[in-house]
Amino acid sequence: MKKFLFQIFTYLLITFLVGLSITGAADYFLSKSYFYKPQFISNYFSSASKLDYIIAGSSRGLTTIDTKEVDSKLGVKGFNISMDDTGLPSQFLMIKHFFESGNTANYCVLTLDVSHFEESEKKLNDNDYRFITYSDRSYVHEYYRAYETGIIRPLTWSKYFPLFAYSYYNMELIWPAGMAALKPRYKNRFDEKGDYSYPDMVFSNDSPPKVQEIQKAIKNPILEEIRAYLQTKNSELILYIAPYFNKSIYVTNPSNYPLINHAGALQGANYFFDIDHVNTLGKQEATNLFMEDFQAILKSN
Amino acid sequence: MLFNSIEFFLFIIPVFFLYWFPLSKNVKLQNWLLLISSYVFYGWWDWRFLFLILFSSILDFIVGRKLEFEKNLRIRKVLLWLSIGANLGLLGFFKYFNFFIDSFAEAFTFFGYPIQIGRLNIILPVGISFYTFQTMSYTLDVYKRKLTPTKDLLSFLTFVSFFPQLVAGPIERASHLLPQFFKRREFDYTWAISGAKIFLWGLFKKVVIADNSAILVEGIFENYSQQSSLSLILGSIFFSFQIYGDFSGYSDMAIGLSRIFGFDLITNFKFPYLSKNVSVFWKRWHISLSSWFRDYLYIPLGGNRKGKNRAMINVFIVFLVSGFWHGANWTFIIWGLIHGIGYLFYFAFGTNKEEEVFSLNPKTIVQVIFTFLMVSFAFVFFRSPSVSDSLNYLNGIFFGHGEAAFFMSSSRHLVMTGITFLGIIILMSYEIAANRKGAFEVSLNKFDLVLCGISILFLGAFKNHLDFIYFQF
Repeated sequence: MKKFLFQIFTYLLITFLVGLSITGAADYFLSKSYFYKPQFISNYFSSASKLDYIIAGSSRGLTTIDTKEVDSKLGVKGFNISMDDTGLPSQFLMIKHFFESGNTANYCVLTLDVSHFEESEKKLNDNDYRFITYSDRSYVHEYYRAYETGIIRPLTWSKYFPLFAYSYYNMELIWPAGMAALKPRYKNRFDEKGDYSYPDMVFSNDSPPKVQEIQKAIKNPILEEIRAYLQTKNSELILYIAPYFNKSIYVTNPSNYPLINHAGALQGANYFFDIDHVNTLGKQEATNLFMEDFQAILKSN
Repeated sequence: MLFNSIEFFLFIIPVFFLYWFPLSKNVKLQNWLLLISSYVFYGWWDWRFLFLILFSSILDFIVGRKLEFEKNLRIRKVLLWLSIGANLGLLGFFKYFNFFIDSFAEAFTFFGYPIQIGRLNIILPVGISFYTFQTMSYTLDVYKRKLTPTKDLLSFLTFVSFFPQLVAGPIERASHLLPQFFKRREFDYTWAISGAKIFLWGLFKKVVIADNSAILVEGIFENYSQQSSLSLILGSIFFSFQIYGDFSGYSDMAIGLSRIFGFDLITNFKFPYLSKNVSVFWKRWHISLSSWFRDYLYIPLGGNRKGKNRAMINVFIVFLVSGFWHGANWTFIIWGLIHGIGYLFYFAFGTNKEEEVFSLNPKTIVQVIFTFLMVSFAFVFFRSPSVSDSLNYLNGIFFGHGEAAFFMSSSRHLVMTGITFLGIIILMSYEIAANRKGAFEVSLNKFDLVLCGISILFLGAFKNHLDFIYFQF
């Protein structure tokens, strides 16, 4: 029995040590790369980069505004920190990551999705593992600790023991780390301004062109936390509702957040890639509309 | 509770230490521990399932005891049919009730008399097909006086519910497994190490091959009408490896765990994808079920004792029933039918001799590939939700105009495809090497073990992994 347990222990130890080496290498290459947005934000900007604005949000934030166009037309400097498949809590994490990495921005334009107007589910989002190389930072660790559920919680423990997280998310971390080792400047589905555009396709829709009208109040408590955090960083929060296909949202805004509501601004399937995302044409139109309102806010301040 | 879950590892470690340390000198206490562990393991899915397994076990135990002393043939038959009726009744109700209701209604509609019959909202108890067959074989063996019934209820309950093989086999015979519960178990280092190795190999097959394939297979089969021919062909090949990695992986883990606890389970798979024809395939695939049907259906039907024609009919019946055993759907019956036809071809022409050792000559390789393609073709029926979906899928392979290729629709899927192919190459290389040595299981040296462990850690599909396919049967 002793021999059996010794053998099992020895093989587990060897596997564990080899695994740790692979994890260490993967973590190193990923942390030095541009592959995912959190790493790009840390590595791309020179220290204490000062921007005029950032755009935060989910895939709708990532794909709606052409940041390059805004910068050239309005003479400002901005960056898109949005990441797909995220909810408001992980967007807040990204905002913190941007500022805690030494950057500043005068305005944070937060692209608010309709599902997060009132509250957000307390769960990890699909792409939160992308912050793993910063799990030793307190705001990342606290986020994982608060939102990860289950028995092992690989991301929460990744601060001390990253092997489980790299194993559990192997497809999402090990392979990109290999890519990062070969091409450290490769960016995964975003450009140097942080934007991403869907392929130029028109949404095929058979349903009758009846615009759905929605009444919603903006009262998600996380928004207040974001505003308070941004104030400590001398940044102002602006809420932006990007265009939806066939959906108009009438908003009540009891907390008086500066708001740009373009939910129903684009009519017609020719502007959309799918019901939530614009295509190239939609992006141009949405950016033009956004610039008008954003410029007005800039002037008013 | 899945073997590849953290819950299972938290469960098995204390069971192992209790079993081999404080309880190692007392067989009865070891059996109590195994029984309680097995019921916890099974009840983890749904505690209500425990009543079914307890009912089936106690009924067969009592029937077995009665059969021992009963001389009256008529009463013996009544007892036998009571056991068979109860076990098949459970199986029929939980697994096939809605299928019969739907088929009945469809038949009436077909003949112009549409009727409405309500379906029942029934949850299929995990592994019911496995343990009902195991307990039935006990009663049948006792009835035929091939086996002396046990007086030890504890051992019998533990035999039926033994957690390593409870939910997906191998389907054990009482004559092989039950006596092992009576004997004192000594810890055997070599036996336990062989168990740990085969467990690791099974885990590799499950998490690296089956679980990665599963995601690709799901994507291809869900939208088969839009997929290109190549994508559909890959989908069926991946499914063949998914089901093999899944089911034989589970069997390997069951066998490995049993060895660690001092038990010996029968071999359930002997490298089936190295078979030269369908006949050989069925001597290597799900052996415990094939041999069950041989002993309790084929032979009682007359086997080959009543001439070749009758034997062929018997073979055909066995394949139909085997297909139906897998699930309440016409797709499984057609799957069984295809294999039945393939098997009969070799049966009729007398070329069903099994060659144990795989030789690397062109003729053998062509035969093996042909057999694999035929098996993959039949698996399209096994995987599809309906017969029309299966036919459309096959039609898409030969005449489809779809252009999508799910396996390369994103970088993630492309990587997954690469991992699956890599896993398949590793699997088949080890199997060919083992088969050429005349072994029934792969042998893993020190380097292989570490490689296997690292592959599981960094190539395994842990996120969104699926349950074992055969749990549903």
